[in-house]
Amino acid sequence: MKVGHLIRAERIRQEMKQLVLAKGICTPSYLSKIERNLIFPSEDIVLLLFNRLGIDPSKLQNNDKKTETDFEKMLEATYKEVITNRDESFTKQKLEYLEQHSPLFENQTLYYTYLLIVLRFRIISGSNLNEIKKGIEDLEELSKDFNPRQAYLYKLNKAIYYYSTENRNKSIEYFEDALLLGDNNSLEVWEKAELNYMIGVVYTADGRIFASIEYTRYALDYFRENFLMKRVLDCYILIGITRKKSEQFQEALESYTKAKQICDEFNLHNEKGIVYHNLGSLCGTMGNSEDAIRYYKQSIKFRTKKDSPLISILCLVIEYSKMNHQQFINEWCDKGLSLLSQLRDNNFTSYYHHFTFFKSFHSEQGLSGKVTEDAIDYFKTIQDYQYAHKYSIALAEWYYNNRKYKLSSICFQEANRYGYLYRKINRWEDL
Amino acid sequence: MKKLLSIVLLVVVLSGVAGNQAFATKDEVPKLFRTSSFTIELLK
Repeated sequence: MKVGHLIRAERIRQEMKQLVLAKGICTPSYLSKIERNLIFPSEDIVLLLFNRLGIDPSKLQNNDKKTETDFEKMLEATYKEVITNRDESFTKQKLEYLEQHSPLFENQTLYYTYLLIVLRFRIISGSNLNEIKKGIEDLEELSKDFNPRQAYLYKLNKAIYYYSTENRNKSIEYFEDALLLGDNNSLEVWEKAELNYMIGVVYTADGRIFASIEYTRYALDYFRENFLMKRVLDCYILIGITRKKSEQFQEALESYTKAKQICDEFNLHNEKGIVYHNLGSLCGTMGNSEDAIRYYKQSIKFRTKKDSPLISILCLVIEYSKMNHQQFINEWCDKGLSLLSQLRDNNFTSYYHHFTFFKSFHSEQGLSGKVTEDAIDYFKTIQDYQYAHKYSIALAEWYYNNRKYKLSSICFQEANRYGYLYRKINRWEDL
Repeated sequence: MKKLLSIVLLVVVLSGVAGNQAFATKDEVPKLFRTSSFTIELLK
């Protein structure tokens, strides 16, 4: 029986040493050969090894071409459907089905593809990040035996995982690897569109505006031709953001307007939150705080998930802060903080610091050095130097206006240091 | 005191120059995958 890859994958998953698994059954070197499918062991040995690993032998599939082809077709079709439709309950349902059945194939290639696709479904259905990390590490040990398509899927899983942990540099590194592998793998059009979309998102999130447009446009063409309207909408938002960042405000407005039209025509009301938010952000950048506030408030109305209004609430606070409207700043900071206390989720800690900072900045007693320093320390810890820079400047200006020149000077120096880190430079000459 | 003030002013000028490059407003980037339960991206 050719089951070495199944034994190896399960042993790695359970973090069991070969010595432990082999004890009393065979020698470790014999097990090593079994795992690499260099030796096909007797049924007795297989059963003993399966038993020690807790593998259910009844899940071994018929070793015939038809069973394998049927499963492979089902797996690839499910993969395509999950990725292109992006339906949360559908993904969970399919993941549950695949995990419950967990078929065991003597065909190593098919089994590894199954493991990679299941991992992808776990990532996109929001499984625990530590479990995902473990899944990626386990697959690393099998990766030497991956074929080019599996290597592509593996890199993609890693890229998405790192994006989820907000490590954009690592994420981009793996996306670019996947892109190279994708070129050599002659991907199907839908898969190429998905890859281009993801790279468009990651580049935009990282401020790599010019690179982002090309990829997003490729994805947009495919989604439009196939009437995947939610995906078209996402592309228009991405393009709007890139236009705005390039100071092409009119083009940005046109892109967001198209996104809004799609929401109206196709009844995509849940998507209106993100469209209005970005319209607000565009107005804010153009110096039109009143329109920005109007859009942010509309955006909040359309939010369906509990966490999603946070970004618009914060931006409202920022606009009110520009207008120095203390009462509204206080009100919206309190709303944000109350939402945070309901969510009780460490992923939103940055919002806690944003809200407490603005609340303190506009309070009667004036800015608290402790609140600001806590915020700066937090952003420094998570290496978010933009905010460490921003709040250091605010603190420095506060000290300066209160004639605390020495403290102000120290804070400005710190602010400059964070500014350099944010821009990935070391000296003022590089500015 | 004069010397200290001039240092402060120089630093103010420098941070002003650096600040021009970054927009302060925040855009909401669509999610990498719609089923994600992760935080909405704050564009830097």
